Amino acid sequence: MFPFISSQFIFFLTIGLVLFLPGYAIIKAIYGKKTPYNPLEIFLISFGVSLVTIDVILILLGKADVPLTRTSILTSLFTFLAICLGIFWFQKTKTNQAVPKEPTRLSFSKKETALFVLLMFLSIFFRTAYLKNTISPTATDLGHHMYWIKVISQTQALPEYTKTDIVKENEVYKIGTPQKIEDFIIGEHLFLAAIQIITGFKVVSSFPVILLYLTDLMGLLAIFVLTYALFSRFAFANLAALFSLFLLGPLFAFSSSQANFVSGGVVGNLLGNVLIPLALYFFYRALEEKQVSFLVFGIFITFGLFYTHHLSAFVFIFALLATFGLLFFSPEKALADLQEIFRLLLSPAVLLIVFSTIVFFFFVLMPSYIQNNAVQTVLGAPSRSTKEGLSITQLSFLTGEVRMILAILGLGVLLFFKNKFHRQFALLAGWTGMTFLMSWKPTLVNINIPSSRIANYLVFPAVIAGAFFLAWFFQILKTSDKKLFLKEYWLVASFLIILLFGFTGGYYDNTKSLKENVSANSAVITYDSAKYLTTRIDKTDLILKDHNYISNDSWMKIFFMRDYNFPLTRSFFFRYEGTNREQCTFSMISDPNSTFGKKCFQETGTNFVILNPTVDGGQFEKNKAFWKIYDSGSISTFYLKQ
Amino acid sequence: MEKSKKVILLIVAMFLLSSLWLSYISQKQMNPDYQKDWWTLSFNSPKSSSLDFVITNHSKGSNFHWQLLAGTTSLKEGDVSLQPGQNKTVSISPEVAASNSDKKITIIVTDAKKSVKEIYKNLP
Repeated sequence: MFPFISSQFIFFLTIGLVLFLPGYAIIKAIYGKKTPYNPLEIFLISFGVSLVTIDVILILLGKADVPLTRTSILTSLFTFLAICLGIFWFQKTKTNQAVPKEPTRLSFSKKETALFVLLMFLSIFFRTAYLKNTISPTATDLGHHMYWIKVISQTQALPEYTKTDIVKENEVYKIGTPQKIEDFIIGEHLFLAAIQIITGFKVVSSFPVILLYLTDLMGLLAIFVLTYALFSRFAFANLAALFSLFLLGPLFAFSSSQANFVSGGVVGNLLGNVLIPLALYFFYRALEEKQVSFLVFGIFITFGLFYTHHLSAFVFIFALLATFGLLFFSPEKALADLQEIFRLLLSPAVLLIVFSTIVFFFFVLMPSYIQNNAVQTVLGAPSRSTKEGLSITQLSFLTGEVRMILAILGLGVLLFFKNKFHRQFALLAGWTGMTFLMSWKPTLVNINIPSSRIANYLVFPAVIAGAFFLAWFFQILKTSDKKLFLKEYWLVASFLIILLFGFTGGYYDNTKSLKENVSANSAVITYDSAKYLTTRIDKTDLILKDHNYISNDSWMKIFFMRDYNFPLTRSFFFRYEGTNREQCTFSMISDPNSTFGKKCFQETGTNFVILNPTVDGGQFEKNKAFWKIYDSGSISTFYLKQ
Repeated sequence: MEKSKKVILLIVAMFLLSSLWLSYISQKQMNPDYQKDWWTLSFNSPKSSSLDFVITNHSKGSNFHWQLLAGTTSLKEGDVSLQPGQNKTVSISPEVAASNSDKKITIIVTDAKKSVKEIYKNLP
């Protein structure tokens, strides 16, 4: 028990050091003792800013050819913290600031505080209930990501995102040279790698899921804080923020973009779900309160977003452009805002951060998807049906029907009162509208991305718009004329119906999504089949595995650490239909005794096959050239004796 | 302490407790012997003619019966007792492989619940 407790203590200490202290130190260095943030905002901002800061530190170390070890990472972090502390101390002694009172921002009554705590408790409770069967390292996407964490740990350097594959040259199949992979972005991996290197935890363990769980919770807080910021000038601001937490936290807790993404290891999306609202929060406050520091932070977070997740950055840019356009619904106010934006942009601090990010982008490291010109692949007409847009029904299902309805109502009210809610309307309508358009009719915005992936982003602005509607509605009830007795009761009734609809819809989704089986049971068997071979093969051996009927197989590569694509994989069958994709990995398992299958075995040098014997064993048992060398019941391994 | 800071500490505490519990159960779930019932049969040297094989036990039972066949003829058999988490390598004399070239040598292992696994080599 003691080793477990001590390892967990080190783990949480490392989380604090890597994911909170750098951001907190920057805030203190910039503002000194008097910050324009409530402690909850500082808590959230520390996390978001730390995410970007650790990326920058590790990239600088890597580019300077400093090995990424526990010593170098800790030394860099402590040096950075010391510099920030020095700046803070210098500011403190220079200005002799008195200890400020807690700002009145996000100031809750006792009941509101209790409600906030209750909602956070329910959010954590439901996520814990879901994750108890999925906490172990088993998800396909996470397996792919954790391979790169182990690469960083083993090579002590920044990763080169490449993989080898079977290629056909002059009618001969062989293993080709490493080709670049566009789908991985360095910011998804560096914070995980930093924590893995410092703690020494095994890559195949629960720590990445715990970190994603934390990221998901910070995403909740980001929406909560953004909602408050948007409506901070109004009496219902607290209520709006609490409703946003209600609609996002305990309801639909397991759906995609929430706990499902946590256990699924959808790293980039989860990070984007924190960084997008945080960036919008800073930009909004910069415009609203005309403070340069907010714009500086907003630019920093946006810069980090581009190094973290291309899809999130893409959605963010579109949302920002739409917001900017919608500001001109009120032209006079828009012109005033534009003037203010230019004034802020021309301030020395903003020019410095913009210059720094440009220098970093062009001279230190460019995000891989820009280096590989992957951007042009996502623009243009949809290349297959999954990118042609979702129906309204599908979008409602993904977003949650009640949230969709509330969002429409909220946007309607914002539009009706757009003079009063000028900026709020522009931001929420722009964000929601653009995301909706990109996932409903992508041809109208000329994008070529799976529509369901875009639709996952719709939840967050929809929740804020819906929360606004509920809070505004509730405020109307509270302040309504009591003489309108009957009318008030009708309003209360419809409000309660909405809440009931929300509860049942949200909790129904929760119960539907709960996993019954522990995912680790099959994973342990799969990993054993990989471990069996690791000590029994040499560099000339080539393994092929099946992805269709073996669970958790994407983690196998972590045991071999030879290449991202080792073992080779017979992928999902639909991926081989009507494409230029090589067919060897398909035929070598599906039809190993065919002429083509044998040709592939001979020319690629594949000599080990890992598969599910109940589905694919028969075709191998017919062929005397194959030896059955491993059997666990659900997985068998065959060896091709040449 | 200011109210906001107390709330943050409370949230952090809830997350810590939740994470601790999840990490603890994950450790158990990833234990191949914890609440699991499986075992494996494999050749110690998959690429050579050696017929030494390994039984690895992660099941609730402990008794295994093995049989070595050349074609359909039983050459050897025996019993192995293994506790969960243990494995045993059963050595087969190289003479068996040498004297049964050009035959399919099959190792069949049966556990107490009559669950059967087999591995084989088609000796050249």
